[in-house]
Amino acid sequence: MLVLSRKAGEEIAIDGIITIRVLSVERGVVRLGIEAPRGVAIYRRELYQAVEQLNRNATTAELPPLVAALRRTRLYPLPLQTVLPTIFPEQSQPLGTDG
Amino acid sequence: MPKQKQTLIIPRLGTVRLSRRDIFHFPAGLIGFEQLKDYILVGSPDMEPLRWLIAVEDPTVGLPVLLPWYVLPHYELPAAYTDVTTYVPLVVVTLAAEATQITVNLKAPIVLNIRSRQGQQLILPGDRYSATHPLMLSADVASL
Repeated sequence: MLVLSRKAGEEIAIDGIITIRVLSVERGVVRLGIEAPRGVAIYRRELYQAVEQLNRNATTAELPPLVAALRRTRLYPLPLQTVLPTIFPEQSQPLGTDG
Repeated sequence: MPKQKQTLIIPRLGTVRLSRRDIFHFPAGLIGFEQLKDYILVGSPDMEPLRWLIAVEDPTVGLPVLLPWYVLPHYELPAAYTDVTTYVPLVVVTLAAEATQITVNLKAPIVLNIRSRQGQQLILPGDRYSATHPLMLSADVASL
């Protein structure tokens, strides 16, 4: 890891297109200002990790309990017709069976 | 590129045949699956209105997703993504052991561009939307 010391008001340039400025340092809290081109995603690390964990948990879902739960849920009607380009399996297996 | 159809065996869902046009390319992958770039949306009548977003490179990776408006009728993406003829948001459904613990991630929608066939997962700024929004109303659960 590259380690740099900066004071309030000083900046770091990354690749010439991203600028990180130390706005203030007070009582153990550093406030940073970040300038980056559109399309560069900037998140607090813990938020990214939380989404990562939710995505990973989602992949372990079993279909039958999920569908059963949905059947018991009051879903709102769609406000508008939405096209969802869906592929339907050709050789469908009974839901939730393997192999 | 030849217009051949590719056969993909998806665990627990069945076999699909897909062509390149069916694929949504995610240049940055999904969060937590950054190495997997190509996905398809799979459904069947008996799982409506759920869909599964399946990674073409590794079909064992599949995420159940829903249109957010089923859960929150006024769900909104940032201004750059509000053209509904181009951008379709999907929210990831997470199931825990208890039915009451089904949540949808409204904070990090997967946005499909149905024109360019690209996709990305956003993390919305602010605290308007929860990453663990309960799917079931407690009243519905109580009436089981």
